Amino acid sequence: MDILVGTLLLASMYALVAFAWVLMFKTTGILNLATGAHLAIGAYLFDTFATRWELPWAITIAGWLVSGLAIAWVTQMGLFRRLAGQPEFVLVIATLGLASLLKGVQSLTWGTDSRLIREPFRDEFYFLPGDAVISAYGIATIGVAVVVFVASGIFFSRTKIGVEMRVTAEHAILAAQSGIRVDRIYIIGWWIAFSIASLAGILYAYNTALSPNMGDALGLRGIAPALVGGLDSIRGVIPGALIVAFAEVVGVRLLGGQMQDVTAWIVILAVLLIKPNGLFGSASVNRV
Amino acid sequence: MTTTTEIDRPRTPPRAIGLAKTGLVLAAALALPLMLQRYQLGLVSNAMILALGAIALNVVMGLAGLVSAGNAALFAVGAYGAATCAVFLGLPFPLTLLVCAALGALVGLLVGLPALRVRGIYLAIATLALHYVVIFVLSRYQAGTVGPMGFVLPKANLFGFVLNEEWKWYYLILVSLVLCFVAVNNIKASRIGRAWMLLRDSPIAAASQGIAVSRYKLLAFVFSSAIIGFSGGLHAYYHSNVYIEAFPLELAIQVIAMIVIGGWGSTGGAIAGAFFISLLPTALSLLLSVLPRNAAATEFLARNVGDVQLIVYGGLIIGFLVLEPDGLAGLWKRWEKRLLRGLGT
Repeated sequence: MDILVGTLLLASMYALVAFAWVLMFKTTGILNLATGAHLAIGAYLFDTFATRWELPWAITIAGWLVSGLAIAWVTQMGLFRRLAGQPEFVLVIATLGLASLLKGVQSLTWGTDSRLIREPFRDEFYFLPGDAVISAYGIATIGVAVVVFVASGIFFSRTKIGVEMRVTAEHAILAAQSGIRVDRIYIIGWWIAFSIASLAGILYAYNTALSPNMGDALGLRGIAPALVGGLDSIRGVIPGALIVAFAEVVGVRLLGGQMQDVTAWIVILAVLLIKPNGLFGSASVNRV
Repeated sequence: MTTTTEIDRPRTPPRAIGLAKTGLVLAAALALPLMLQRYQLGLVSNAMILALGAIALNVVMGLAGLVSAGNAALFAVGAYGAATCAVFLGLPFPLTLLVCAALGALVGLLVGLPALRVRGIYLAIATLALHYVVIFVLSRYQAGTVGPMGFVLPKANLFGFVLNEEWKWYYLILVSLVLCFVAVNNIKASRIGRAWMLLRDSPIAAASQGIAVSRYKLLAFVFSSAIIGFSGGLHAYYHSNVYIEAFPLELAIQVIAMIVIGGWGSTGGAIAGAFFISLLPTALSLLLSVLPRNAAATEFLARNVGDVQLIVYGGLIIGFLVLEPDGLAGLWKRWEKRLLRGLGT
């Protein structure tokens, strides 16, 4: 039973991070290796507004969203717009440079020790049958993940911007021809991915602590559920997250704490070996 | 129009100039131990070991157009292979280096085989996974055998010639680097090298020319992994010490920065980038000691050297990609052209 609770909790955080990876890959075609750095930076920004400056919650959330938008704007207009038309591997290396840069900035700005983040409500623990415990923040985390997925489903099927994003993902040039402002779509893509990744970071901070290695521990590893589900498949994110979270929880249970850092990567190597396109991924069209 | 003059001019400088250039560089490299102190020579040797890794990564990234984040892991495989051969098996130094290269190739094959079946981009993910898994396994291995201080290697003995002086190491590493440089440049000019570059520029065109895309990509990755494994073994013997903290992911990013700065696909550029990046910390601390004692700034920089390095590497990667995609090699070519024109050739 506690394995189930642990899996669900971890899976909801992994699902959010993997969503950010898949969203970037689908809308802009970029494998964003800076997702981990984004996750950490976003969570630290939130912490700055919430804990250091003790702003009201509404302003904290607004400030976090606006700073995410600013980062997305600079990333697209300052960097990736100038690299438009470059081959895939150049873009990936650019995100790697970005990751290194952001990681340095993060550690320079916020230091290297873990900290607790200001809580909107007191944490409580609930005992479930079968020796399982879940905290109020654990329940909130699972709830937030569900809400995000329902909301994004509505966003991509019902709203104009959501549909435009899907069109751009299908074919950027045709989208531009039909009057969609592709740059703006890409900025929104970066923004949503940044926000969702850092939302996972914030939830992680409420469940454990805000720590500098969060970017690697949750963000970078979030590529595992994305790959298991299929890098270009939003549908695959949730099963992918469940599988990786289950493997990690069981791995830690059977073989000890040090397995936490490595299970997700072993899953990646296994998936590449067995089913490289993931559970729901489409086989690439020009397979040469 | 510039294009017509471009065609009229010989594309490469005359042979004599090329020979003179090579001779000049080699003479300078051979004379270097006479001019530098022991510590400075050590810095150069270290840079040359990293240059081996950069040349190897350049085969994968610059020629074949694949992204690999596995340099630190493969380097570690070589280093731990050397430590094991030397400490537990007592193999002689030259044989150990061969084993390191073979180990590197083997690990490269195991990771590249599944990853390169599908798309080039999957190699980036697979090598990232490789890094974490290899570092995990090797750290368990180290903890289970020699403990946190790591392996201590004996002095290298090259067919009875003991490498106990800095300058002896310098020449051995220099020879390795030159051999590697020549080998990679020869392959680059061969059928295989041309196939790599074609599949980098257009995989579809490559496939329609009958090039087995996956196989050639795999060949590039395995070949490069062998060189990195070799350089890892060299590194282990040179420092006579191997411990897990020496192989962080940042090292892989550093090597990527080297070849982005040096210039895609240029072997000489990779060496230049390796020197640039590996001498950067020294240059920074030199700068700090020269600066007027602005205590606050100096202390801040000294305390956060690691973070500043991350920012500088990341910034350089992005800056060169956007502003000077051909890197130092491209800059050098332009200067050289101007210089030759100035000389009236």
